[in-house]
Amino acid sequence: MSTAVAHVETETNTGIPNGKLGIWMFLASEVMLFGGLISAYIILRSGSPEMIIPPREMMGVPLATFNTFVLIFSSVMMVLALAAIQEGDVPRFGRYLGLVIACGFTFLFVKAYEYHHKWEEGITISSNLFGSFYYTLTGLHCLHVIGGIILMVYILRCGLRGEYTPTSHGRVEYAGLYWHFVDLVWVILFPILYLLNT
Amino acid sequence: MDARLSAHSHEALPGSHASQVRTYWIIFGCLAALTLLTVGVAYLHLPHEAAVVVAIAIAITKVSLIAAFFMHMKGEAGVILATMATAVALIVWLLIAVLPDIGLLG
Repeated sequence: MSTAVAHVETETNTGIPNGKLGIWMFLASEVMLFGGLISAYIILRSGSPEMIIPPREMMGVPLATFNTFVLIFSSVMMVLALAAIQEGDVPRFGRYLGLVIACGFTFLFVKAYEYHHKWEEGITISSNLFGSFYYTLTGLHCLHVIGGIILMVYILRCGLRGEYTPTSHGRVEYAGLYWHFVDLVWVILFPILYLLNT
Repeated sequence: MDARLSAHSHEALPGSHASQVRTYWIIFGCLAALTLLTVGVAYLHLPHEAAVVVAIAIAITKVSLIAAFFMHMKGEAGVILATMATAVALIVWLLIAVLPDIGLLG
């Protein structure tokens, strides 16, 4: 009897699993969503020399840098969780995915502290153009992080119940693609909102 | 006729697992270093245009690393690359098309 791992037939119309194509199409739409808002910020900031930009000290660069590390670390945990389930190691998958969820919560807690600090400094969504963009962009990103956490909790639950195997774990990969995209968006938002403040 | 084709889901290769994990941690190191570089350069008080170019270049590098190695775009089919490239191209075109009207008034 062959000891080779049996392949699972996954649905496809293009040669690529439908779920994978679907998540990439969704991410392309997310590129348009965030890209449109970021483009608006770039264009309006370029055209408004008198636009008031808070100095870096007021923006809290160290905390934002820490948050950037948190999301990058969570991406590593996500891809290690995928590698674990590819080997059928469910406990290791659970540990790594748990760390992804923990990183997500950490990011949100830091963001909540940042928002409160900025409110006290007078930077609100209606205080000026920068405030509008800052809270819209980072708020939309936070909503995506919250959605990602909910998704990861679901994936973790399914994984711990044994629903994913080395030959059938597409949803783990697709969820991971979403999470990496959330990290990717922050990688772009961080410098344009926090560092280009001269 | 059933138009559905069959696609094999990903099969783990035990021999390459250790090298995969090592790659992920190397990329994490690169991303961490680039993050520190981004912050460090921001405090160099470069001229605004140079600061923007450097920040964008570093951001593009980090995005490329995440997409290529964490999202495994490096080994993905052409249709996926074409989809994402189209979305990015359209956003870049949005910037190019609108910037002269509003963004360069100042």
